[in-house]
This record gives sequence, structure tokens and C-alpha cells, in this order.
Amino acid sequence: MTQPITIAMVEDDEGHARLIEKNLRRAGVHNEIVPLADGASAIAFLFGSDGSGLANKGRPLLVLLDLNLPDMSGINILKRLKENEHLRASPVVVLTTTDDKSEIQRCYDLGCNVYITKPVNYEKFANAIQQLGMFVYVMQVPEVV
Amino acid sequence: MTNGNGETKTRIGVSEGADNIARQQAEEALLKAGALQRAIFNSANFSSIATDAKGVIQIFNVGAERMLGYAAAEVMNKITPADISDPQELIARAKALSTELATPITPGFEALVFKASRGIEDIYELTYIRKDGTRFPAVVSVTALRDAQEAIIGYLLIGTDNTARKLVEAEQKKLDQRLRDQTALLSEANEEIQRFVYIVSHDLRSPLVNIMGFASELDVWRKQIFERLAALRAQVGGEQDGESDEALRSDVEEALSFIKSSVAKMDRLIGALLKLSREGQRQFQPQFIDMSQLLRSTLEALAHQAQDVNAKISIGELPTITSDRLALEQVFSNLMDNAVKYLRAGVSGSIEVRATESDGAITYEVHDNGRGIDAKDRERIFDLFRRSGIQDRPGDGIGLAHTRALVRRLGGSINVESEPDRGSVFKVTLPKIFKVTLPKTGLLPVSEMME
Repeated sequence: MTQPITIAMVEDDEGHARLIEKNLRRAGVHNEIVPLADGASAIAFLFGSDGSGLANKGRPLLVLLDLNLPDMSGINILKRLKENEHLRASPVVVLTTTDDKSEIQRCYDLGCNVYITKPVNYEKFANAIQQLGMFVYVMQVPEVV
Repeated sequence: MTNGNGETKTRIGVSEGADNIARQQAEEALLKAGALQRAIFNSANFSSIATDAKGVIQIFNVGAERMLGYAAAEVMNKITPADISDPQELIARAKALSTELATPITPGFEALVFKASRGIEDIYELTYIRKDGTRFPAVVSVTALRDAQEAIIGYLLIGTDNTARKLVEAEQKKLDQRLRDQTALLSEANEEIQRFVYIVSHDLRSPLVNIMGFASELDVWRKQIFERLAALRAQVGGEQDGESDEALRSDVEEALSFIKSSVAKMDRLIGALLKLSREGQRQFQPQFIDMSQLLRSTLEALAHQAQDVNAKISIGELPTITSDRLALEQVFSNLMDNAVKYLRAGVSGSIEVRATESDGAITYEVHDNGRGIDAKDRERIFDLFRRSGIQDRPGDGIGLAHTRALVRRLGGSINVESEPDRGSVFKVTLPKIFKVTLPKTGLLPVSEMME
């Protein structure tokens, strides 16, 4: 029996976090969602106190990552994740307000798995998150090694 | 052969026994030559210094006396022009010439006349030193004087005082530097504004996601609340307040719909700011453009709209241009789009693009017979988020602001002539050849409009 996926939600805006969670739940996602409101707590959770990433060994992780964080750019976290031998296989979904082409390119170059722009139009926003939720529902994620 | 007063003794070679006419001609020629020489030697604005083959000064004219402060008698047969020139410069000149001509040249008089001695025309700048020790920059032309057998018998150094030009040059250099500094500053400020706009736009979008999101959630809850209210009323059997429930329901609905439409508008405006800031950072790539062809393909995109409002568009033969294609497409597609958009109801539209060319600049004109623009709005319409006339067409007041920013960045200008209810002419004047002057000068498309 495989462990259910843990969703690490790196999101500094409480409102956004709430709306994301709401719509994930609506899509039938019952997995644990760990809210991480800034870069430092995200790093601490993902890489553990020793910074190695071993803290999450055996856990299937999905990272939802906002790029505009108060204390650092989400890009740095993405880079560290994809360079980490234990965590690099964990899927990262960048979920941000930035729709700048070069930024999107940069994220994919660094190994992000999906890039989603948060639209202001709520119908589209809800749709995007719910579709992501349905996707999470069916996806297989490797355990942290 | 001369004296210090600039008079010259010249031998005349007219043979004994020649006829009177020949003699007369020779005398006339002599007179002319004498007059010419006197004029040169009395000229106060040119220093004329002639030397013998070794460099010793033989002639020192009035101009030389004035510029250098020596009387002719003080220098003639005593010193060479090297003695009144900056010795450091002589050393440098000798060194440079030695390298250039691959032969050792001594840093004295030889350095001043070496090229001339080889028959090379030589004009150069040097610093002369006056009798009182002060210095001045001069431009000197050196010519070798030769006898009938082409042997060098001396040199002529004609010089002008270069002080005024040097001052102008120095001033010009200062101005150039100041201009470069200002441009760099402006460019830096512009980049900062672009970055600022970019960051602010993103940061503004974040709360909008929440306002829109929770307003939409509220809308859902509103429905549920009023459904529950109605159900509760049904349970207690009371119908008496149904009407005020309905009024409340529509009030809440109206409030939410205002919130949502305003957020949507703000999102569009932020989107426009982002777009402008992004395009302000784009580097233009000048290329040769067939404007008739560019306008025709712009027209294709508009064909459908034009047909809808029964508008005829004609594009004349337009002069070609070297400029940024994408920017020009945006400029003219915007102007044509406006022309089609603001026609008069009941009048069949007629839109025409013409051009005139003069002095390295081309003015492209978009004529329409549309509703025209009130005189008070003719400047305003180029401001960001400003519009004119009856607001019966969709738009956020971005197009013309963007257009003007692009035209300015292309080194041009745009203006409008218009008569309300008759039509408008938008005139875009652009340089025939656009040159990218500095790598990062994007001329304030966003900042300028935000003033």
C-alpha cells in the first residue's frame, strides 16, 4: 500500500492559499496540504533541519510553488529542489501570478513540471486549480529517496 | 635673400635682347609675385616662417611676430622653429614618425619637417612657445622649398593660432560628456521605472485574485443564504417579508457585480501596464520595410470589421522605410483599428493612408471620415487611460498612448488634425532610416504616460 501524496503548498498570500485549498478539495483532493507561507519555512520543511532533504525520505511529495515570496524568489527553491538528489524527482507545480514568458521558460529550464498562472478571473482560477486537483487525484508520485 | 621687413630680392631671368613685350610681361609677373609675397609676409593672422635647409629661420613674418612675441631680428639666423616648439611634443612626434616611416628621426627640427622633406604633404597640430614662455596650440602646414634642380633649399612653415578651436573642442567634449551622462542617467531611470512598473503590476494582481475569488465565493454563498432564508420562511409559514428579501438579494447581487466588474477592469489596466513595460524593454531591430505591403497585411486583419461597418479602406503607394517592423505594425494597426472603430453611424466609412517624404523623414497619414475628435481632447487622447467622445465603444484608453510611446521610441512624432463630425487625420512622422543610437535607451513609454 503506497502512502498518499503530501502537498507542500508554498504560498505567502493567505487568501490565495485558502482559495487554492478550497478548489483542490472541491476537485476531490483529500490529501494532506502543508501550508508554507514563506521561503524560509518552505526550505525548512522540504530540506529538513540538516538541509539534506532526507527528512522527507519515503514520502511522496508534490510541491505547489509560488514565485513571489516575501523573503526569497520561488525560483531559488525550485533550483534547490531540482539539484537535490533526494527531492529532484518530486513534481513541482509553479503556481504564480507572473505570466512573463522568460520567467516561464526559466522555470521549465530549471526542471519545473507544470507552470500555471493564477488568473484574476475567478472562474478560470477555480477551473485551473480543480483541474490540477483532478490531476493530483490520478497522478503517481515517487517517494523521496 | 630676404630681410626682416618681408621684402624679397628676386633674381629675374629675362634674357638680354628679348623684346619689349616679353619684358613687360615679365615685369608684370614680377609685380604680381611681389605683391603676393608682401601680402603673405604682412599678414597678421598667419605666421609664415621660412628656414634654410638646416632649419635656421630666414623669414619671420608680421603674423609670426605677433603670435610668438619675437621681433624678426631676434630669431633670424639664430634659431630654428624647433626652438619655439614644445620639446615634449617634438620627442613624441619624432618617436611616432620613426615608427611610422621606419627610420630614426631626431626630436628636433627634423621631426618638424621630415615628412615635407620626403615630399609628403604635412599639416599637423603643435604647441608653439612665445618669447614670454606662454604657449598656444597651432596648426602648421609645412612645405619644402626647392631650387631649379629640385634640391631642398629650405622650408616654409605656415601656422594659425588654434586656441579658439581648441576651446570650442574642449567645450564640445564637455557637452558631449554631459549629454552621455544625462542619457545614461535617463536610461537608468527609465529601466528602473520599467522594473518598478513590472513589480508593482504583479504585486497589484495578487490582491485582485483574492478580491475576485472571495467575491465569487460570496456570490455562491449569497445564493445559498437566500435559498435557506426562503426555506426557513416556508417552514415557519411566513410569506410576509418575501418582497424585502428579494430587494436585499438584488442589492447584494448588485454590490458583488460592481466589485467583480471593477476588479476585471483593474486587471485589464494592470495587464496593459505590464504589456507596455515589457514592450518598452524590447530592443528595436531596424530593417527595410515595404510600407504599402505592411499596411495591406494590417488591413487584412481588419477586413472583417471594416465590412461590418461598410467602410472602404484605400492604401496609396507609400515610401519604404528602415525601422522596426513589429513596432510599425502595432502603430498602424492601432490607427487603422481606431479609424474603423470610430466611424459615424449612417455614413459609409472612407479611410485612406497616404504619405509624404521630405528631408530624410516620412509622414504617413491615416485619413478617416469618422466622428472626429473635439479640439480639447486632441492632446488628451494620447494620454494613458484617456478617451474622447461618446463612450459607446469598448476600450481602456491604451491604444494611442502605446502608439505615441512607440512612435517616439522610433525617433518620430505623432499628431492629429480633426474636425468633429467630419473626420480625423493622424500623422505619423518617422525618420526614413531609424538608427539604434544607444543599447538601452527605451524612451520612457510607461513613465512618460504615467506623469
